[in-house]
Amino acid sequence: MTIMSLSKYVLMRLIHAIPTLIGIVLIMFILVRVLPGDPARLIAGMEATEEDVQKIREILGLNKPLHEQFIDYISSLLKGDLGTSLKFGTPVIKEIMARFPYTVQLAIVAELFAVLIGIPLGIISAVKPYTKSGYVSTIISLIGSSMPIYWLGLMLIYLFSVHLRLLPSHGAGTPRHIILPAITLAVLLMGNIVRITRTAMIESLESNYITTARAKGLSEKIVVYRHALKNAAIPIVTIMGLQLGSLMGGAILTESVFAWPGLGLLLVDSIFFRDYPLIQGIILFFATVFVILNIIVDVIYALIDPRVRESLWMREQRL
Amino acid sequence: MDERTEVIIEKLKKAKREQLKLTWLRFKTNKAALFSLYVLAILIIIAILAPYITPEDPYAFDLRRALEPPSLASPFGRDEMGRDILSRVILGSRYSIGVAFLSVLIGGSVGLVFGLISGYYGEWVDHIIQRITDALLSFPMLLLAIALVSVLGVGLANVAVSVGISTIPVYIRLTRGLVLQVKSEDYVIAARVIGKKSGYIIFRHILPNVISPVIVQSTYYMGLTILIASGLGFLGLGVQPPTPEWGTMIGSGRTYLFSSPHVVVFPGLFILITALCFNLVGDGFRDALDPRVRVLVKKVKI
Amino acid sequence: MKEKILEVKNLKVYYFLHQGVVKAVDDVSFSVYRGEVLGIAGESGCGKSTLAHAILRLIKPPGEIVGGQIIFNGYDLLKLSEDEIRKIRGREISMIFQDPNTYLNPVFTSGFQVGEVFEAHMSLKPKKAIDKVIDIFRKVRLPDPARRVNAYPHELSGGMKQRVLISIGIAAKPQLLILDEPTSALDVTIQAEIMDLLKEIQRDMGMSMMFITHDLGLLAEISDRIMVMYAGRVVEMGDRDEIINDPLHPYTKALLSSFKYYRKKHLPVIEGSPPSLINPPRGCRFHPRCPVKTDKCSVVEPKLSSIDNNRFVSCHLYGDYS
Repeated sequence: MTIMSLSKYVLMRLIHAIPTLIGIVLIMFILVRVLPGDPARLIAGMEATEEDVQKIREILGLNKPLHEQFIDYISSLLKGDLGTSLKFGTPVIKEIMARFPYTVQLAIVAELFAVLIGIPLGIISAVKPYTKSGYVSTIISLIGSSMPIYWLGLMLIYLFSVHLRLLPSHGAGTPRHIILPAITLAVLLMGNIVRITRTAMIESLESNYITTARAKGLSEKIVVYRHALKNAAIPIVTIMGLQLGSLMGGAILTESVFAWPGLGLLLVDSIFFRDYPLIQGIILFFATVFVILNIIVDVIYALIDPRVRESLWMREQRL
Repeated sequence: MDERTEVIIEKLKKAKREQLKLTWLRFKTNKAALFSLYVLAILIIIAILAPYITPEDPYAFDLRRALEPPSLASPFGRDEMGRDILSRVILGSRYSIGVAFLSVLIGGSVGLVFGLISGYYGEWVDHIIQRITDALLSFPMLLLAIALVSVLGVGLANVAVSVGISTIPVYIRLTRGLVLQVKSEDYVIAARVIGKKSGYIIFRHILPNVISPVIVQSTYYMGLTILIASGLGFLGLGVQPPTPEWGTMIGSGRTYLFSSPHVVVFPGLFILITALCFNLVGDGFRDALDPRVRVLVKKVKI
Repeated sequence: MKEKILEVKNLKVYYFLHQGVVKAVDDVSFSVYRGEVLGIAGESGCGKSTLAHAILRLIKPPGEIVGGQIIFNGYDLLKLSEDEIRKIRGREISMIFQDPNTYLNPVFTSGFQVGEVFEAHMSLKPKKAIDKVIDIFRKVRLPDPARRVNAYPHELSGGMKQRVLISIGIAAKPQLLILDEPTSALDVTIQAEIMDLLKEIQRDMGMSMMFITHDLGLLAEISDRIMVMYAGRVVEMGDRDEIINDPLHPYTKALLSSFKYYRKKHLPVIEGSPPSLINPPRGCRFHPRCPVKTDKCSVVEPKLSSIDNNRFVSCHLYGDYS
């Protein structure tokens, strides 16, 4: 695949993403404006006079007609200004950037656990469906998709922090702090990964090209790991991409349980503080990151599956 | 309608019944799914009868007995307010399962309708709906639910609506895809050529073909919405205490984890079991309805 | 006396399904001689494809080889270990499949997939075997072989893909080549080219072939001997000319009449439909559709017996069994 067509593809996806992003912004904008309660009054406090509240309204621009507010909002967004936190008084973007690395850290470690354990389990359960390892994998994938992770987190804390006194129960700081949160989140992710790996491998193994590979006299190991797996990789990468949603949602809950100082915890806290600029900013940020990550997944997809490259090439010709 | 048509209609109805019976038989061969279905039935009955079968009043508190560990009198122990946890878990089934059911109902019906419209009418209607769906899909489900709750406020109704809305995009996508498939089938084209009204076509021809996958998806979603709704409860953004929603119970009880884990263990266990059963039943439905799946039988000695 | 390279004795392959046991291959015996082409004819579902897969032990659950022997060069293939049968697959006995669209792996290049045969049997990495692969591509008349080696299956036409499958089959110069409907997925003009190619390869390399198809016309072109299967059984077997010009079994006659129908005014049909292999008809399996059946046919099963030196039929008309 040429560099040219690859960058064209990325560009095209980014352009397509713009209406979606605008939609997200619009939704957030409408939602916050629709909320019951007067932000100006909330900021001013209970004892403020009508005058004060009015002044705050002016500062916040709440007096202007809605479409003007929207345009203001969009223009400040484009400048990278997500507003100012009501609670902290600092720019929202600053708070987000301070906590974002923690969430990323947690996400990466959790995903790594999930993939390193989940994919082999999925392969085993596909290749040997009626043996012990097969059943174990099926059970793990089931539990992973049915488990309330915050409960799992609490159980793990009880087991490892209280009972065994092995690992810290909350906060961040040392490498040991990340273990329990990452494992908790990984269990959630593993559920899907094991299941999809298994399904993808089974489907791949039932394909006709596997019969050809066997008829050539190739060893079963090569048949499974080279032929079946490479084809199964396609849906597996897809699911890892789709999982980004669960990853984010799971991160929010996990950070809450373990007091892990990431973006998810900040979001929950900001809801309790009624810090609307912060809430809005974080949600927008999450959604945008999600969209960008999906584009990256699509690019990886194109790199793995030559047929996708072909249709991209054809689309490029038409462009 | 003449006699022959009546006979044909009778035969079709009989065929439909036969097919349902066959699907049920296929479902039954999946032991895990069958067992889960029974467990779910029991849980639903408990949820319906809840107020009448709790051993104690789920709201009655007695601070002298706070955090009592499980005993014969209170098999699940007592919470931080001295309330009997078993009773609260029983009543909680109403809220947890109820909210999940409501969410799926809301999300499913709205999603189904819009998916049908989007898929059938196409063109600009489809375009608009798809753009909105894209925007909604770019939020992870929990995040969307949290966003909605932060706007609508907390409480049972708002949770049901928020979680319900977060399920809509997937329903729309699913339905639309199926509609597009069915739309190009010959019998649908034939119906349009004859001049049947759109509503009739959608209802009689397209809907029956769309129903099965939607049911399978809804079953899976019941499991997922229970997790999300109770997640909101845990975060304090869902059903509010003292209402004994399972997630909310875990949220209020977590402070006492170190000393009295039983406060947290039992509600969570029930969430796990319920979600597990929904997933297994969902798998069972999917396999039973998928014509390609061949069910293996034990080997016969020749 | 010609040498037998493959002898199948009383082979039984059953599929254990929810609805019942499908007796796909039910007591089949035949031989293949060195250097000959044995054509195997029959309708879809008669078991010929299962037979082909069974020889290389490619049958997967719920299918299972439940009985019989497959003797190749003195060894019973059914008694070999996994490792041993793997040495035979692709090397001594090779198979060419019917649908080039699904039998090639879409994520590997065609050159790589052919090169894998060398990897499996001659410890040669597929990338190093490129030259050999190009030679084989030339032999199968694939245009511009050097470029095609790097092409992915979806970049090739149907005929080209089939040539790739053929390349995989002949790469290790096997003694026996099994072809399972190699032209059924191709359109007629390509079919003719592939048939020519196959005949040429068979002549040049002197390999034995089992050519499986429902199209008797193709068998008339390429076979030395023909075997006709019906409902999991062999119903007739003999030299090509004898079978084509003087068929004995009513089923063979019916198959041939539809092949030679241009002589008649209308396309003849065989009454009825293929039988269930779970509950085959009692007695002779063909009797419900046979135009000349007798009372005995619905009760007693005929056995495959020798009429002549090389001629076998399984029909009550030609012998008396009790």
